[in-house]
Amino acid sequence: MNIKIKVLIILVVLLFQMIFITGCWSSREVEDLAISNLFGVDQVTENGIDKWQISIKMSNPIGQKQSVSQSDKISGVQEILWRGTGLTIEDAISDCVEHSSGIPLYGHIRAIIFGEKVAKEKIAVFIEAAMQYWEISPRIYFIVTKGEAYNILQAEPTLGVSLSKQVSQMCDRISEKHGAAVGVTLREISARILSPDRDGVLPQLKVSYPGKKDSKVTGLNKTIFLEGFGVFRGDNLVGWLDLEEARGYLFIAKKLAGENIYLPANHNGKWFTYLIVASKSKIKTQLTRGDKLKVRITIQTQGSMGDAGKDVGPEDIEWMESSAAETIRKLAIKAIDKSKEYDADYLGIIQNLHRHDLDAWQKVKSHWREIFQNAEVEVEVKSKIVNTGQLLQFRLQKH
Amino acid sequence: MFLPSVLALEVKQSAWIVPIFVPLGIGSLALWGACKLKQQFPGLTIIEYSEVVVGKVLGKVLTASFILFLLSFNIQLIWDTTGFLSITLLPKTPALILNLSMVLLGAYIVPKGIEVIARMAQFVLPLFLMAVVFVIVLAMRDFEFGNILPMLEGGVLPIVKNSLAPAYIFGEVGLLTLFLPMVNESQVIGRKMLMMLVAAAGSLSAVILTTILVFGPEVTGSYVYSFFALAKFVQAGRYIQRVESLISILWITGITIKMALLFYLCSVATAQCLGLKSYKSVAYLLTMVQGALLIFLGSVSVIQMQIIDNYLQSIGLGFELALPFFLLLTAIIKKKWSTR
Repeated sequence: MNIKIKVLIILVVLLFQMIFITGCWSSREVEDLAISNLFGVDQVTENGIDKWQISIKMSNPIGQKQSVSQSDKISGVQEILWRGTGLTIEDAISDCVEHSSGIPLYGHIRAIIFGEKVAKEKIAVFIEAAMQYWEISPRIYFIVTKGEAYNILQAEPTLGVSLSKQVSQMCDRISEKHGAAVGVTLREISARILSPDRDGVLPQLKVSYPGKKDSKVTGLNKTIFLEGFGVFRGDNLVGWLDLEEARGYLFIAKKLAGENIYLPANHNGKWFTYLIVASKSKIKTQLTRGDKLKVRITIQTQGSMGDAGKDVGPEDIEWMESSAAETIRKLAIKAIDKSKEYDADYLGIIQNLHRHDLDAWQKVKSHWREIFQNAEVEVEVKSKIVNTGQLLQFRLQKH
Repeated sequence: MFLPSVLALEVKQSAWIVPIFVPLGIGSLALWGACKLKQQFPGLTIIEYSEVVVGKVLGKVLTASFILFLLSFNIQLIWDTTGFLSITLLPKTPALILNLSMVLLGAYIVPKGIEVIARMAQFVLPLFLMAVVFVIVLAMRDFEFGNILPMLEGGVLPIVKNSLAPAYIFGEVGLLTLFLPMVNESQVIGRKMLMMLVAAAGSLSAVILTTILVFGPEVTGSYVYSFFALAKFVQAGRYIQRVESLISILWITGITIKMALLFYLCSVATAQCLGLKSYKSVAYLLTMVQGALLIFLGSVSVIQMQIIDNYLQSIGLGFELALPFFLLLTAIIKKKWSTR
């Protein structure tokens, strides 16, 4: 081929390349994006018609640093709240974002909060939609709240972070460390809802109002905290776990490592703190001849002793360990009782039977909830204190 | 990319066992058949010796249908790839642009010859394997070993029944009948291909196992592209997240090589069938045919496309496995008959 023609072809190709490398149909400029951080999903009734209500917290780029006076101080809102309603999920989302000039980006969503009504009736519909949408990661957190999720999204963040960051931080580690709840991802809740042998839970977001008796913060209009769980039977929310039941659930169903759950325990009126740093459990199931399920749950915890007072010495460790074990056992039993009350096996007892005794599962598959209701559950707790944490001078004073 | 989901939907937690039984067996059988045919007809492709074995007319009919199968297989591959791109990375880009880009890329690669395609594979394969291993390693901290229990819950039957889709993929080894004469060191090709088959079955099994260990069988079966979802899920601290683009890009590069190879085989087969000396002109003609067919498929409904997919899967094994074995058997019988 003539060299001139070759050069001409290369030039034409390069020229055409310029058209394509500037972007294609799916390109999005960063400055044009409307970045969604937090989703609220509700079911509301408008003019007698049930509708989806979607509320979205979106990043507000100019709210990150806005000069309002001569001093260049940080002000303005970091996130803007949008709300929309519609007959379908897509319809509600489109109603919500149509007033924002940006191109919606959902890949940055940290958590999705469900209102009580949608959690009771239609959470599976939303989960399926979330799994279908390519931008949504299976790692985002799912949370449930009493009342409307929109109410939660109106709360003020604390400690200088945005509300979405606060929620994601709570799910990531803080709540688990306090033994108040644990973050549940899309992966986990979808697995539970689709599971043939286990139910699921979602952590509960609560609102704290200043001036009220149970308020945990002052100086803000209202703020949020993660505590307890919403319990699902299949894909319907059926009830709630309070702090103690939530802790019982964590001890049975989760392996905790490097956590710092402060557990007040007492023996003969003497109070001390058992600081749990690790916990694991084992469930053993056995189906007897009369189709009676016997369950043995063994929980092992390790921790240290906190604020027991100066009168405590190594000779007291034994009673402190048994006292801590008894406290944990009571919490576990509360979680089991609640599980039976709601007829929802969120502890994974029947799943354990399915996985380890296939013959027994085949026998009870059709009526496993009935078997679970009548199960005999025994809980054994072994608690160890591996560190007294006491100061030497105080110990010397005792002797 | 979609195989873990399809298998987990039907075989549940035992899906990872599927590739290492029937599909590997089918692949090995197809390989054995291709090697035996090569011994019977050294230096000839299936297009050339089918006329020798079954006569000119029937031979032409068989080769024409084989070429049509290759063509539709390649179109299905392009269609599935652009479908994946439209759902995941490029949702706003018209599918037609993606389809035609793939065809034009094929038209650029194919005339360069088989060696260029082989060198491309040599370059991309290590990168792709590294990316897959990277995702598996990142996923390890989220493994829940209970997810694969109980093993073989429904027995062996579901594993055998659901082997068609992976067997179709492993049966592609049967296409060796077309390019074995072009391969140097053809004495060791059988052993090397068998090693490749075992490695492919092992890696497919590892991918399915990892997905089930992280998501569980129900969630794996719910996602259309569950390994892509796994790549979205894995992370190392807050530093490495959302690696799905890396996986997708390398996967598409791999698919491009497969597409180019099928396109090349289709062009060579057509040229041999028509008795042409060069396959390049055929390649350009096939580019236009493929482009036109992909434009036509743009107006086909999802249900019709599903029917085409299922049809191709069922006839696929016929061309990959049954046709070579039919020719082999006929050739052996003819040979024994003539020696009497």
